[in-house]
Amino acid sequence: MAKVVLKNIYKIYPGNVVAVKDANLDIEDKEFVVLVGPSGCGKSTTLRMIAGLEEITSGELYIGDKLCNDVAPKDRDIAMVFQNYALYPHMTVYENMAFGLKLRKIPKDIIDKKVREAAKSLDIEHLLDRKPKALSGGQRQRVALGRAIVREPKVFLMDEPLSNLDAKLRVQMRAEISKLHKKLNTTFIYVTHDQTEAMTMGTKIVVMKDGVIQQVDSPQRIYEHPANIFVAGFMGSPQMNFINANLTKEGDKVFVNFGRVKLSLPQDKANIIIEKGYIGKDVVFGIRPQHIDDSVDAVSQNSESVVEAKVELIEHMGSETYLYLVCEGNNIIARVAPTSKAQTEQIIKVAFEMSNVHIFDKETELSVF
Amino acid sequence: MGFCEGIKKALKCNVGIYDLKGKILYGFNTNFRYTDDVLYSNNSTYIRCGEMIVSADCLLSQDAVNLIRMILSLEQEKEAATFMQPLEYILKNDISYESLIGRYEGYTVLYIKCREDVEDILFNIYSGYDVELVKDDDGIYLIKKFEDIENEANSIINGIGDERGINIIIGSGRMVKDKYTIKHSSQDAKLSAVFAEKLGFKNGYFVYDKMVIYEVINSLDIGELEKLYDEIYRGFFDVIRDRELINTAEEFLKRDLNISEAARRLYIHRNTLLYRIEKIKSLTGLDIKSFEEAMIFKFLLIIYRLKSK
Ligand SMILES: Nc1ncnc2c1ncn2[C@@H]1O[C@H](COP(=O)(O)OP(=O)(O)OP(=O)(O)O)[C@@H](O)[C@H]1O
Ligand SMILES: [Mg+2]
Repeated sequence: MAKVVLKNIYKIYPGNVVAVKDANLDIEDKEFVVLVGPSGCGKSTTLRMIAGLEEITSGELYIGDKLCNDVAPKDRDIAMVFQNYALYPHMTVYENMAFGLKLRKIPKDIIDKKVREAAKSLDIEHLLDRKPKALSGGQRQRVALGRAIVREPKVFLMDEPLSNLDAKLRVQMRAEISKLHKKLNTTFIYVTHDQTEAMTMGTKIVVMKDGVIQQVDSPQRIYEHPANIFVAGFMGSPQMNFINANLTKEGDKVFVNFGRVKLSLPQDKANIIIEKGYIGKDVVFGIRPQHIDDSVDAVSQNSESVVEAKVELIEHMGSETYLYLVCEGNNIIARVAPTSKAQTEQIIKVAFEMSNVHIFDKETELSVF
Repeated sequence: MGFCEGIKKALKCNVGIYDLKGKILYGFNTNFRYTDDVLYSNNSTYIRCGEMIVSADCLLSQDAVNLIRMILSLEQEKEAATFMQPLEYILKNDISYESLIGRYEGYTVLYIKCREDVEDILFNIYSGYDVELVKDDDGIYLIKKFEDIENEANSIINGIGDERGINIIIGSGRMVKDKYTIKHSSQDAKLSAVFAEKLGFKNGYFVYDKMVIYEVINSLDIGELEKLYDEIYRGFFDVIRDRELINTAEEFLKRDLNISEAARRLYIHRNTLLYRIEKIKSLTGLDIKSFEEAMIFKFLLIIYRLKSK
C-alpha cells in the first residue's frame, strides 16, 4: 500500500516565506497525481517534503499509513526523477541503471534481471552498452526513469522531468510516462507548470497558487467545474473568457447582463443563482472559447444567447480557428471551426452555449457554478 | 637554486652545477671538467654527484665534498618529493606555488558539501576512473577532467539526493591551466560551496566565477551600505515581505528580464507583471526593467540574504 497523505502541511522558509500553506491531500495507492501551478506556487517544495529533501515545518505526512515526518528519506521507499537526467557520464546505460542496486549490495544476477526487465519496458534494451553522451534527450530521460524503476519504489516523484525536452519529444514522453504508470501500477506524483501536461497525464490534478492548494479533482472535473477564477483561467487553452456582469431576474428566468447584452441562463443554473442569493449582484461571467460558436446553425438554434462582436484578429490553427473578438468592450476569444466565414473588422453574430457557462463571485472569486 | 647561494656563503667560494656534458644547470658559471668521482685542478674542485657535476672555484676538503654531496641529494629528494606528494597533501598544506605550475593541467576541482558522509557513494561512482577524492572537515574534493561539468555536478546532486535523500551543495573552481593551479581550483571550489550555503542555499551547483559578486559584497561593510541605501532599503523590505512581489521580481530576474516569458511562467497577464514591476519601483525607486537597476535590486537581495543568515 502506498497511499500518500498530507495533513495540514506547512513549509515556512527562513525570513517567514510561507512556501506551502495548510496543504491537505489524499493520494490513493496507484494514483497518478499531478501538481500544477505557476512559478513559485510551491509545487517543488511540496514534492521535496514528500521526498524528505525539505523539512516539514508543521503538519503530518503519511506514506502508506506510516507517519513519515521523521523517517529518513532513504527509508521512505520513494524514487525521484529530476529535470536534468542525473546520469553519470562515464558509466554505460547498464551501469547507470544498476548503480543504485549495486550500492545496496544486491546480488549481481538479480541486478541483471531487474535492469534488463526495466530496459525492456522502456524500450532501451539496445542502448544498454552506450554512454549517456551517445543518447538523445528522450533516451536519456528514459534511462533516468529506468534507474528509478529498478529500485521498485512504492512512490515515484517527478519534478518537471520533461521540461528540458523539445515540444515534440515532450508530447511523446508524456504518453510514455502514462504507459509506464499503467505498467508499473504504483503511485506517481508529478510536478509541472504546464496545464496541458497536467490534463493529459493525471488521474488527479492538484492546482496550486501562492502556496495554497486551490482544487483537487479529476482532470475532467477541474475543467468542467473549476473551483474559482484562478483554476478556471489556468486550466484550458486558450483560457476561459471572463466578463464582469450583473444578474437580474424576470419571473422564473435569470439573466446575465453586460453592456447591452442580456443572456438567459438555463433553468437549473438559474435556480442555483436564486437559491444562493446572487440576484442583483455583480459577478464574473465565464465561458470557454469552444463554447462560443459563429456557425449559422448555432446562431439560429440559440436565439436567446446570440451576441454581436467585432472581429479583431483571426488565427488559423489548422483543425480549428481562433477569433479574437470585442464584445461590449470585452476582449474575448472564440474557438470555431476552420470553415468559419468571419473576416477581420467585421461585426459578426456568435452564439454562447449557455449550458456550459460559469458564474463566479466577484469578491471571493469562488465558483457559484 | 638556493643551494648554490648557500654553498657560496658557507664555503666562501662560487659553485656551479653542470650536467655530465658540461651544460650549466644552476649556479655560477665556474669551470667544467668531467669526472667519475672527485677531481682537483687549477685551484678548483669537481665533484661527481649522480648525473651532475658540481664545480667549486676553490680546493675543498673531503668533508666539504661529502657535505655537498649530501645536501645535493637531499635537495633532489625534496624536489622529487614535491612531485610525489599526494593530492591530499597538496590541498591541505602550504606548497610553493611554483612547484604546482604545470601539474594537474586540465583538471577541475569540485567541492561537495553535505551534512552526511557521502564518500562511499562517490567512491562507488568513480572507482576505476581517473578521479581523486580528498576529504576534509566540511566535505569532499573531487578532482577530475570533466567534459560537461555542470551536467555531471547535477548528476551527483540528483543521484545522491535520490539515493540518500539528502541535500548537496557543489562548488566548482576553474579548470587548472597555466598559473591557475590545482590549489587555486580547490580553494575556489570550496569557497563557492561555503558561500552558497551562507546565502541560504541547501542544494545546487555553484561556479566560482559566478560567486565573485557574492564575495565582493560579503567583504563590504554592510552597515555603511545600509546607511547609503537607507531609502531604498526600507522599501525593499516591503517588497521582501510581499510574497507576490518578491516572487515576481525573482522570476523576472531568472528569465533575464524577459517580460513575456516571466509572465507566462508566473501565469499572470503581461500588464499584471508590468503593474507589479511598477509597484516595486514605487517602493524602492528601482525600475527592474532596466538592466542596471535590476542589478542593484539583485545586489540588495544578496545583501539581504547574506545578512539574514
Ligand atoms: N530555500 C528557500 N529559501 C527561501 N525561500 C524559498 C526557498 N526555496 C523556495 N523558496 C520560495 O518558496 C516558494 C515556492 O517555491 P517552489 O520552488 O516550491 O515553487 P515551484 O512551484 O516549484 O516553482 P517553479 O515552477 O518555478 O519550479 C517560492 O516563493 C520560492 O521563492
Ligand atoms: Mg519547481
